[in-house]
Amino acid sequence: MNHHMEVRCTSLVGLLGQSHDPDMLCPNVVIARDYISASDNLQVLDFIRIQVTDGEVSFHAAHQVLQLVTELFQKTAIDEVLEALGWFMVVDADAFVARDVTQLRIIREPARIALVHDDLVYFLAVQLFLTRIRNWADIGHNPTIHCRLKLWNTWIWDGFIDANVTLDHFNRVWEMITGWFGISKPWRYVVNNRTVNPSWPLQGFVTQEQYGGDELKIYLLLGTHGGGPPQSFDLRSASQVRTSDNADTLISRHGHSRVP
Amino acid sequence: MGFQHAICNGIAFLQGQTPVEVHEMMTEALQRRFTAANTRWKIDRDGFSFDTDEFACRPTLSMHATRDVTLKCPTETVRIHTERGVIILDGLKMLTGDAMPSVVSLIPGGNMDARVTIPLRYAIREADVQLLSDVPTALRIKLDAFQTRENQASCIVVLSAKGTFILRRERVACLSQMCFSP
Repeated sequence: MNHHMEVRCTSLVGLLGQSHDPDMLCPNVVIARDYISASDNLQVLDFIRIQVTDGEVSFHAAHQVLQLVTELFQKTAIDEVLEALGWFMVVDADAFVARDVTQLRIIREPARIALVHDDLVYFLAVQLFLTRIRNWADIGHNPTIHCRLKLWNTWIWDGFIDANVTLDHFNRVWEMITGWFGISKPWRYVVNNRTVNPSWPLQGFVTQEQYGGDELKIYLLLGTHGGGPPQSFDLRSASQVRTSDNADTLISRHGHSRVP
Repeated sequence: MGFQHAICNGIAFLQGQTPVEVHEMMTEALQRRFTAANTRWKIDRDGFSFDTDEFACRPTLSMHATRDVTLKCPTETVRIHTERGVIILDGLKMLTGDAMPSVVSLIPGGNMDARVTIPLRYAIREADVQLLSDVPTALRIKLDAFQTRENQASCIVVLSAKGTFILRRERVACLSQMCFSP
């Protein structure tokens, strides 16, 4: 039956749900979607307990609250994206019949190639972050600066901000969501090729747009851990170094003489 | 094609239809290239009829004949719907990225004793394919594969709630060729 079939869907989108033009050349990987992602303030998630264990993510709350959570995932089409990536949501059948569901689990779909657990949790956090900021129109009392945020080569937010707004406005949401899942992946915010302190007002980083207005492009990158590349150890003895043709190179590279 | 079959099957269950009439209707339906979008239904006192709405007719979109590639790993078995002509290892590399198993074996006819290392350019043909890997794998697509400038691969991966598809990239593979709206 399945040997002749088309990819039936409403739209083909990118990783973060950005829609592609039907006439453009197809990227190497696309996600097939039937539903459009809506925004949400994620308030319902304040009333639940999220547990991240090995192999699954579970949401614990009363039956009525979990109903709202399920509606949230359907409204934002996160359930569809998760299924595309090999994970899906399940509840206990007996509890569902008894209308006493207290646990909603996201588990791996059988016979599907799927994201690993850590990637799933990270991706879920990013999806919730996008869900939260998607409906933000303008930020601040006097929004005059055109601001755009880019993540993974995709513009994820486009709007106007006040000159005194700081990136903490976005950072607080991200830290709240990552806190729910117990992950530590701080963003590094880059403006004009420089990493900026998210607590500083953005007015100092504004550049002039082509048509005269103020513009701000902010790039979200994963934070760095520091330390640089691992040091290579030279296992040669002192006498070997002395007789080596590259002794001079070694000395200049390390900045000090290793020869006694 | 499924839509025409569904209509014809429905008609076949109506009372008073002879096999000849059903056959004629089926032939007509297949010739007219009905789709869910261009079929116009008319309900009269005597019953109903259907016709093609020429104005709603959309360009014909290509369908992709797929076969199932089953990859058996130590911890699981995954199934990937793969279009005929796709080079299996290219598709697997795109899906799994750095989790690509170093050795992937082909199991002809499901016979483990006959397994051989899959040839580099082995492409899907008429039959389903079973593969074996000694290590588990996962979906580890590189981020740049989602970018539009990355269009040099020989195949295209479509992640869908209905399954994972690997399609052959045609000479001009624009998005409208990959998608079929209901």
